[in-house]
Amino acid sequence: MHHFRQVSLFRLRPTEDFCLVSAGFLLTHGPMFGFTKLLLLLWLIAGPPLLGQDEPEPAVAPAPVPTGPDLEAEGPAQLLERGRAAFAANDFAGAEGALEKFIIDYGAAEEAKEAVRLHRPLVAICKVGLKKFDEALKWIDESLTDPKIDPELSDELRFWRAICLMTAGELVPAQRAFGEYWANEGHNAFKRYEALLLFATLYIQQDFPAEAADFLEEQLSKYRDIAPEAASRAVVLELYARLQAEQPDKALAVLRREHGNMDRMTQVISFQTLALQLGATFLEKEQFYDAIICLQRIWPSARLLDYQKAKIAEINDRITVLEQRPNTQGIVFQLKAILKRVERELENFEAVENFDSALRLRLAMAYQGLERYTEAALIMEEMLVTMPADPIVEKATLAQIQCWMEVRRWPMAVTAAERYEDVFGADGPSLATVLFLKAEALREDQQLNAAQLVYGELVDRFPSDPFAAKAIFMQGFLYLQQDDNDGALYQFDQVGRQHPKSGMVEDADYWTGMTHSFSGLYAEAREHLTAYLNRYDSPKYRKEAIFRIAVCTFSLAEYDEAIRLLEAFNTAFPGDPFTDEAYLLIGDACLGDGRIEEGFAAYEKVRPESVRFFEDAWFKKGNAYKLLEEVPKMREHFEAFVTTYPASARLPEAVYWIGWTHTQEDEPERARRIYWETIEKHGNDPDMSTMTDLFAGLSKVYLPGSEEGREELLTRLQILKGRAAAEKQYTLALRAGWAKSLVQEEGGPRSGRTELLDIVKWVDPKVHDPVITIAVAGAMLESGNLLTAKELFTNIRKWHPRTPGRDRIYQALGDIAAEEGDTAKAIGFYTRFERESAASLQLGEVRLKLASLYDATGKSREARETLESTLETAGVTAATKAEVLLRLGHSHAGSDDHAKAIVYFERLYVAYGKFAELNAKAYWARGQSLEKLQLDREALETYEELVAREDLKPFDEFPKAAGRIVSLRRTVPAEPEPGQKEAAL
Amino acid sequence: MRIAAFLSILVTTTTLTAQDIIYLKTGESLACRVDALTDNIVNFSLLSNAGTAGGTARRTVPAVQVDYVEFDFQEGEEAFFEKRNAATSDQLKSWWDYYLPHLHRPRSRAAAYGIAFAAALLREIPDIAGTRALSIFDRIIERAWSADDIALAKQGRLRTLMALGDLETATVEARLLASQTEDPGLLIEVNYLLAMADFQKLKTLQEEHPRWEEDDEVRPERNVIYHRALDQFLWPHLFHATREEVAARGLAGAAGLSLFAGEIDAARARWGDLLRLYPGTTFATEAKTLLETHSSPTTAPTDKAP
Repeated sequence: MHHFRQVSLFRLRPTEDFCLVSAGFLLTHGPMFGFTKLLLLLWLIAGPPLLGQDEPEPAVAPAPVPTGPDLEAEGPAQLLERGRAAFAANDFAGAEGALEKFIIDYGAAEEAKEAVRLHRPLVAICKVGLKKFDEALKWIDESLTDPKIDPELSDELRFWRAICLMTAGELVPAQRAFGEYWANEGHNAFKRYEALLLFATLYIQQDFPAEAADFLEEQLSKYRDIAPEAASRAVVLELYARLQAEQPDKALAVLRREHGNMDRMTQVISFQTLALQLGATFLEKEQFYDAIICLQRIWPSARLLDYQKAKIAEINDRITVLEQRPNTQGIVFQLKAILKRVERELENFEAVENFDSALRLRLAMAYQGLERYTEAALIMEEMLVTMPADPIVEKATLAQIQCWMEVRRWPMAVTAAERYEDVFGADGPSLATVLFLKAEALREDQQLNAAQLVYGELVDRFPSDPFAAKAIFMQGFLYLQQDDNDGALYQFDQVGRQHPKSGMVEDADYWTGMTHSFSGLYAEAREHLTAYLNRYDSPKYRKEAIFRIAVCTFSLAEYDEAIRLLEAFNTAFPGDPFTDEAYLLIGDACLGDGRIEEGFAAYEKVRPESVRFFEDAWFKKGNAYKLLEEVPKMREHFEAFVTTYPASARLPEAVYWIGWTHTQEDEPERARRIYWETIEKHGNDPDMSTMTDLFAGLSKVYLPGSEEGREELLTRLQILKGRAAAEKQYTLALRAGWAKSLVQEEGGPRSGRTELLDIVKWVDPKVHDPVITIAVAGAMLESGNLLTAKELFTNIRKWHPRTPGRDRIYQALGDIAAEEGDTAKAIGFYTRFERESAASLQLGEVRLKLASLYDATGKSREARETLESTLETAGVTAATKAEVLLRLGHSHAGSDDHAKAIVYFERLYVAYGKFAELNAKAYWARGQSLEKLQLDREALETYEELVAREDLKPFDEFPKAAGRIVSLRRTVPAEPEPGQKEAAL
Repeated sequence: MRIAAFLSILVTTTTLTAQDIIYLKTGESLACRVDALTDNIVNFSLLSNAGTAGGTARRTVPAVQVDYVEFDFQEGEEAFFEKRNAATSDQLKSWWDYYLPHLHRPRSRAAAYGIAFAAALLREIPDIAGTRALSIFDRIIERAWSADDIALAKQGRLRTLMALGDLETATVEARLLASQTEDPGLLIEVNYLLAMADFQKLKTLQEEHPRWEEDDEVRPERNVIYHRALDQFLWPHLFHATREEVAARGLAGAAGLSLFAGEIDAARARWGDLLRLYPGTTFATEAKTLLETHSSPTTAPTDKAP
C-alpha cells in the first residue's frame, strides 16, 4: 500500500516558446496587451498538485533527509527505507538516488520484483519533481506497463506523462496524451480539466488556435455546471485562441455569450483585458459597432480590482473553513491553485497603468469613427472629470475639444480647453493647439473680443509654434470683421514678418489686398493683388484675386480696362458665381461709357438665381430708360418685373416706377390704377409682405399734401376695407385699415388710433406683418386695453423675434408688466430693450423707467448705473438728461452721500438752465445737502441764487428757499466786502 | 421564565401550519397568527398541532423583542401580489388600505402595494388622480422601512410631478436625488426623468417661441435645454450599456429628441445605433419602424449640428 506523505512537487513554467511569443506580442501591441498574454499563462503557472500531495510552503525549503552512509555500502532494505523516507520529506534527489539504485542493483532479483513494481512509480515522480522530464518519461512508461499498478497512481502518472512529453517538445504525443486523459471520465476530475486546457494550449502552441477555440467551445457544455472554475478558465483561453486565430467575430460571440457570467469568473481580469484587445482590433478594422460592443462590456479597473480582491478573500475564507474539516485536502489544493492564479493576475493587473483611460479613449474613438461626436465627447468628458491626468487623458482632452467643435457646441469646447489649461498648463504638449481651438470656438460663438485675446495669448506664449502664424492671421481676420482695417493690415503683415515660411503667409498676402479694397484704396488693392498673383506659381486665391483686380479697376472708373478684365474673367471662369456680379459691373461700365446696348446686353446676362445682382441689373436697366427718357420702355420693363417676380422684395419699388411713368405722362389715375391692381392681386396674401410698403406708398400717388387727394384715398381705402371684410379677405381688410390709419395720422399722431382699434379683430400676429400688428397693439395699449395689448405684443414677439419693431414690443411689455405690478418682469423686458435696441430713440425713456424700478426694489446701485448710462446715451433729450441728473442727486442724497449729490444738482442747473421747474428743485436740493454737510454759507449762496432767478418764482421751492435764507443769515456772518477785507488786513 | 426563552421553546414545539412568522431579534422565528400589531406589542395566537383538541393559545410579546413580522399571504393574494404592477387602482386600493398601518414595519408589503396603487392611478387618470398619487408616494417616502421602496417612491413622485406639469419641482428634486445616490439603477432612472422633464420644457419653449432660431435671447436657452436633455438621454447608453433595456430607452429618447429638433439624420443614426447595439430590447421594434418611416432625410443636410 502507498502511504505517501503529502509532499510538494513542482510548478510547471511557461515554455520558452511561449515566452518568445509573449515578448513579440509585447513589442507589437504595447504593454497593455503584453499583459493580456501573460495573464493567459497563469493557469499554466499554477499547475495541479500530484495526488495526495501538499502545496509547498513557499518560505520553507524541503526538509533534507540527513545523509547517511554511502549508498554503495547499503543493502536493499536500507535503500528502500532511505528512499521512502526521503520521498516523504520532499527530498526527491535523495529518494531518486536510493530507489533508483535499489531497482538497478536489485531489481533483477526475483524477490525484489514486487518492491521494484511498487517503487518504480516513485522514481518517476522524483524525476518529474527534479525536472528530469526525459528520464521521467521512461520510468513512467515502465510503470504504466504494470497491470497491477494502483489505479490512482496510474491516473497520476498518465497525467504527468503528458506533461513530460509537452516539456520535452513532443507536442503531438503530448496532446494525444492529454486528449486521452480528458476523454477518460474515470480519471481524476480536477486533472481532467487541466488536461483539457493543456490539450487546447498545445493546439495553440502548434499554431492551430482556431482548432483550440473550436475544441474548447465544443467541450464547454460538458463540464460548465460541474466545474465552473475550470470552465471560466477555458472561456478565457477560448477568447485568447479566437484572437490568435484572427477570428474577431467569433471572439465577439464568446464575449457576448460569456458576458453574463463575468461576475462568476475567477480570472475576470484576463477575460476583460482580452476583450479590450478585441475592441482595439475592431477599432483598427473600423468595425466600430463591434468595438463598442466589446468595450462597453469591460469593467473599470476599480471594479475589476475590487472584484478580484473579494474573490481572493472568498477563496481564503473557503480554504480556512475547509482546512478545519477532514478529507478536504483535494479541494483545498484546488482552491490554493486557483488562489495563486488570481493573486498573480491581480498583482500583474495592479501594475498596469492607464487601463481606464485606454478603455475610455478607445470607446470614444469608436463613437468618433461612427461620427457620433456628442457621444464621443461625453465619454471623454466623464473620463477627464474622473481620471487623473496622464498622457492618454491629455490626448483625449484634445480630441474632446475637437468633438465638441464638430457638433458646434462652442461653450463646451471652450470649457474643455479651459480644463486642459487648468490640468496640464504649460506642461501640456498640445497647449498651443488647444489655445487655437479655444479661440476658434470663441470666434464661432461670436465672442470676438475673447477670441482675439486667446489668439494673442497663443502668439505670446508660443511664438514659434505653427499655430502662432494662424493665430496672427485670425487676429487680422477678426479685425477685418469688426471693420478695423488698419488693425487687420498690421496683423497680416506680421504673419510674413514673424513666420516667413508659414503657409499662412499667402493667405495674409491675399487678404492684405482685399483689405485695401475694403478700405476704398482700389489702386493699392489692385497693385497688391497683381503682385500677389505674380508671387506664387499657383496662387491659392487666383480666381478671387483676378476678380477683385477687375472690380478695383471698375471702382477707379477705368471702364474700358474694367470691361476687358471682367470679360476675361467671365471667359476664364464660365458659370462661376462671380460672373453675375461681373456682368452687372460690365453693364455699369458700358453705361458709364455711353455704350447703352452693350450695357443692356450685359445686364441681361445676370442670372435670376443670383437674386440680388439680377434685381440690381433689372432696376439699373429701368433707371437707364428713365435717364434716356424712354418712359414707355421703362414702364414696360417694370411691368414685366411685376408680372414675372411678384414675390420679389422690390415689387413695391417696381410698382412705384410704373406709377411714376404714368405721372410723367400726366396720367395720375393710371398711376393709381397700377397700385390698386397690384393690391387687388396680392393684397390678401399674407406672405406678400411687400404689400405693406405698397399700401404705405399709396399716398404718393394721391397728390401728396392735398386735402382732396387725402379724402379720395381715405374713401377708397374705406371701401376696400369694407368689401374685403365682407368677402372675408381679412388680411386685405387689415392692410386697408392700417393704410387708412397712416393717412389719418397725417392729421395728428392720435388720429389713426380709432381705425387701428377697429381692425384689431383681423390681426393674426403669426402671419401678419409686424409693422401693422405692432401699430394695432400700440393703439390697444394707448387706449388702456392692457390685456389685448399684452397678448398681441407677446404673440408678435413670439412669431417675429427679429422684427425691427421689437424695441416697441419690449417697451410696451415692460410698461404693461410695470402697470400690473410685476416689477421683475418689467425689469426683464426693459433690460432686453436695452440689449436689443441700443439705437432706439426710446432708450433714454426706457432707462429712466428701469432706474425707477430698480429704486423701487431697493437696488440703488443698479438704479444709479442705469441713470449714469442714460447720460451717455445718444439721442436722449436734454429734458431727460436734466431729470436724470436730479434723480441721481436725490439717489446719492438718499444714501447720505451729500458730497456726491451736490455735484449732480449743480450740474443740472448749470447745464440745463432752461428747465425751470427742475432747476428750482435742483437748487433747493443742493441747498439742503449743503446744510447736511454743514456748509451753511454755501447753502445760503445756493438759496440766494434760486431766489435771484425770476423764472423760478412760480415753484414751491422759491418761498422755501427764501425762508431758509432768513434763517441762515442769522447764523452765517455776512461776507466782508472786498474793501473791508483789505482794511482789516 | 424569560420571554425569549419561552418563545424559544415555542419555536421548537409549534408546527408550521400557521402563516405569519414573527422573527425575533435573537434570530429565532415563530410561526403563528398575528392578531394585533402595534409599535409596543405583538399579540399572536399559537396554532396547535392538528389534533383532536384543536384550539389556540394567545400570547403577547413586546415589540422591542421583535425584529420583523412576515405576514402570510391571504388567500389568492400571492398571485395578485406577483402581478400587482399590472393591476387596476380599484384592485389595489383595498390592499393598500389593508396594509397601510404596517407601512413603517420591516418587511411589510404596504409600500409595494402603495407604489403599485399610485402608479395605477397615474396611469389611469393622471389629470385627476395625480395629487392622490403624489400623497401616496410622499407617505411611502416618509414612512416606508425599505430604502428600495423609498427610492421607487421617489421616482414615482418625480413622475407624478411631471404628470402634474410641475417640471420645476421635479427637476430640482431629481437633481437633488441624483446628487445623493451612487446607485446606478436609481441614477439612470433619475437622469431619464430629468431628460424627460427637459424634453417637455423644450417642447413648451419651442411652442412659445416657434421662431426660436431667430431669437437671440431664446436660442441659447433652447440649446442649453436641448443639449442637457440629449446628454441625459445618452447617459445610460454610454456608461451603463450592459443594462441594455434602459440604455436602449435612453437612446430611443435621444433619437426622439433629435427628431423633434428636426435633425432627421441624427435621429436615424441613433435608431440605427439602437438596432445594432441593443437588438434584443423592447425598443428595437419601434426603432426599426421609425427608421423605415424616416428612410430618407426630409431636410437637406446642413452644417448645423445639434
